[in-house]
Amino acid sequence: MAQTLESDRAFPASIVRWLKPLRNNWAVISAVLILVLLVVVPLALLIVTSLRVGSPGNLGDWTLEKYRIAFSTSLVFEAFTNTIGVAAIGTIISLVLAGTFAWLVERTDMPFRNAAFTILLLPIAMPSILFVLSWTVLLQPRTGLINVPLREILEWFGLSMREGPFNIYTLGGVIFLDSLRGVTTIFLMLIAAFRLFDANLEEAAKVCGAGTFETIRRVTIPLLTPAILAAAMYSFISSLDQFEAALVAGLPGQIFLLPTLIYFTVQMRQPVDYGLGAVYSVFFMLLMILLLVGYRRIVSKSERFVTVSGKAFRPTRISLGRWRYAAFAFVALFGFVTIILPALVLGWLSLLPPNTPPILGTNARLSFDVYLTMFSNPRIATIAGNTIIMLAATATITMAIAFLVSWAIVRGRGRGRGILDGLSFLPYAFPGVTVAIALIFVFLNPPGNFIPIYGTLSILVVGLTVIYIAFATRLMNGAIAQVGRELEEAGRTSGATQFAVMRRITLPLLMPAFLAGWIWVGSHAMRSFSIPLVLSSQRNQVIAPEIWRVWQRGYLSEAAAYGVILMLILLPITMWMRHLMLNTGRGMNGGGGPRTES
Amino acid sequence: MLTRAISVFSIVGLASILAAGVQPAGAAEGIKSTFAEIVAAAKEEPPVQWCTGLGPDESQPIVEAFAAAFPGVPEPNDFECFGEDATQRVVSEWAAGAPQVDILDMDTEILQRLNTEDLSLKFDWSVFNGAPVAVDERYQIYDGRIISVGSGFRVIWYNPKIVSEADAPKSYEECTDPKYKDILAADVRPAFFDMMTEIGGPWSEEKMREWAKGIAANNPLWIRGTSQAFQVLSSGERGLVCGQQLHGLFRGDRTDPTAEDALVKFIIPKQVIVYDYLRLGFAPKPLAPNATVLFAAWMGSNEGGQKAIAAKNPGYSSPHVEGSFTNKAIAEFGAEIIQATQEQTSSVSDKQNQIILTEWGFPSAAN
Repeated sequence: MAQTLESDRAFPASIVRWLKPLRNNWAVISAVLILVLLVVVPLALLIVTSLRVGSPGNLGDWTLEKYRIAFSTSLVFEAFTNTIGVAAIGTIISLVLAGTFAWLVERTDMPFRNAAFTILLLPIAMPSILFVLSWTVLLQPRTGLINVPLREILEWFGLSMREGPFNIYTLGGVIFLDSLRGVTTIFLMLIAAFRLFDANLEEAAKVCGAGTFETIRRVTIPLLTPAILAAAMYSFISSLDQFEAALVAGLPGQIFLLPTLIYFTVQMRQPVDYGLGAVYSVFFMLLMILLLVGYRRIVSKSERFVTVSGKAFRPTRISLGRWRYAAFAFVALFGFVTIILPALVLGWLSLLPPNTPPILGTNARLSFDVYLTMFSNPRIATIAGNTIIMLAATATITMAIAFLVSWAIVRGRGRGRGILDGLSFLPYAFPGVTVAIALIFVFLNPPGNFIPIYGTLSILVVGLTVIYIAFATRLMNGAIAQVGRELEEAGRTSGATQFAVMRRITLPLLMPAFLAGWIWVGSHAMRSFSIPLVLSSQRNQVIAPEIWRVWQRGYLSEAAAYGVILMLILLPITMWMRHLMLNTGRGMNGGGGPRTES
Repeated sequence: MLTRAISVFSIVGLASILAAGVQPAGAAEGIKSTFAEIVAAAKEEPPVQWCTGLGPDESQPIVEAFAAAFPGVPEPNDFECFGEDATQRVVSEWAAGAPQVDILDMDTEILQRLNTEDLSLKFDWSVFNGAPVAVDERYQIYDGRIISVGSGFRVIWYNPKIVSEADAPKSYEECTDPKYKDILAADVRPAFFDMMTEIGGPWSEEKMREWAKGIAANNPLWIRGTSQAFQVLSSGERGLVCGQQLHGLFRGDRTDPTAEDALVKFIIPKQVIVYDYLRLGFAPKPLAPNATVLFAAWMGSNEGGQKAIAAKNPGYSSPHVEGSFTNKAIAEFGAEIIQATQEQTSSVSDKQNQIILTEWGFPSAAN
């Protein structure tokens, strides 16, 4: 205190009076500044670019021409309809599967429930791009590893087909891939709701004579409706931003979704049109922001449906009778489809000699040559190093910003908190491909181009931080709210500065949450795809987009080997996350769920 | 324990930020005025960054040959730059004054813009006249803005297990035949510029539009580039691609397309499009300026890159050189060569893309 007074005397009274509110609210102010730089500036640049002719670094006159072009053809509406269709149908399928799995694991006497939980978590260890690539090999219409034997079987029944019966390069194919990828996250969201659910109500229904299915229909589902709606809305928003399936399975069948329409416009077609891409991006973001508003309303209403009883009551598990093992087989089938089968395909591909077509009946000699070649290639070490630096930097910076922002939201005072909360949640509405394009505009146009991070790992870190900041602040908000103010007040009373209190009291107490968030952000950054795909160059290559590039160049076995190695790294991380979840007794996503970038 | 954990996080975070922000030093010095000075200056510069359309197995022997010819000059860093996204990104970086690449293999579609907007280095190659790396004027395009290396031409690829040689189309027009429905794959980056009457080809705009409609009606699988074309044909997913580059069939470990048991073979259509293959463009402010022009001049010289590239892949040999692989192949198929200059081709590229992509239902300049 003496120190503070001393420093006050060093400045004229008017300046001290003016600076005092700033000093007292430094955390809120710096948090707002950081979020403005990360969130508002890219968004503003995107809008500005959509209204000007030219390209990054060479923007010209103001115009509405790009908007006229964008909305004068049916393409954007087709992409919009496809995007909504994929998200809606994908969400319904994911929700039904995830809801069933959560119910089986949490509320029934299905055997091997721990194993089932692990199976349902494992898809996290397989990045979306690998999942999608392996399923294209399985379900290519003419040569797909599933289609060929299936056609032979159908021929026994007199059904002769030249291709199919499945075709991954269709809207149905994209929906299939999207819906399966969405199950794990929704499962984690729903399982938290199932755990908090007061099973006394189900018991009461049974006492009144209701059967199992009637209880589910009339008690369980109605009580869980808000949680299910929140999960559905979350899944819908995530699906709108899904990129890998749309890129790999959609484009060959000329199925455009909004993310791929943007990507095609600014990176693939000739000549590229950044202005038009920016218009599509603005349109896409507005759609996402509208949905986000709806999502927040649903989540806020769901809090009124809390049914935690506080009684030390262990609910009786619902007996599945003779369906017990069938239920587990269903979970195992899901694991087979989402992780085992794609992993087997990748493993097989990685053993094929270069330029060998991935078809059944190939007589190629399998070998580990590609792995040996890879490990002797210094470029692999560079890519691995870049990936590690990127994930460590992203996780550390994201969690540090999240801590500061959340502290300002939960502990701060004044109206700035509301703005901060809104700003920190806004990136939920930012599609990965759009963030990447916005950052190109920021760092290739003045004044942003004076910060020389374009083409470095730093720009990837900035992009991923923007994407993950929403999840990280949700996580830290909840954690800070659980720490009593009195500990911090005791620190302040003892003469510690606000910063010292944060560093020496609050942060150490929050370390478990910080660590959990760090692992989550790091593991997602490692498999992130759309942002590094758009922003990476020779100097900042990282693993997930590299897999796609190598695949596109025709080196399938090398791409698959990359994938196998990546999965082997992600597997223990996933198991560690499982350990953390089981120890904390709830899913990490229970607080509303993150929107993953990959 | 907690203090230690915080320290570890801080160190990891700081180290990561520093490592992520590190930039290699770019030497933006001027280019010297004599061959000897350029060679001497190149030895002091960082390696040239060459973003190339060649595969590593093709580009690596070329840079090794250059390194052997100029000991002491750092070996150029060649890396495969795939597709238009890479081209567009590199040119955007140049325009914004943030070069990551010194030399880029240019796409036809961007040459015109490069010239009109002055986005790349325009160099007077006469500085190398009389030196071992003298560049023939016929390889200097857009007044020295671009150096061309090797030849390329577009043919029809087919999988003989799906389409027999007798059944395969013998012209691009035949590719629209409905009998190829569900058999065809089409590249979303069409390159039929030279077919346009505006620059001396046989197709009017209307004809090109009709042709594009016919291709779309055959329900093609949409692909991008030679690698994907080879993948879908060799696996048997599709049987035919019209207008792919011949050299793509000779790349890497792919089966020799002239062999009896080749997975993918080729037909040279009645009218074959021939073009300069590598069109090297240069950063306005290269990171290694002297090494960049030295390497480029060596690439454009008859005894340097021109020779090395044709030796590596017969598909790059010039059909105008008597006895070359492509020369003999064209004679064998009795084909007529259509070849416009780069300047002509580039002048119609946007219009060609607009016509074809619009008919195919992809985003184009028209929508």
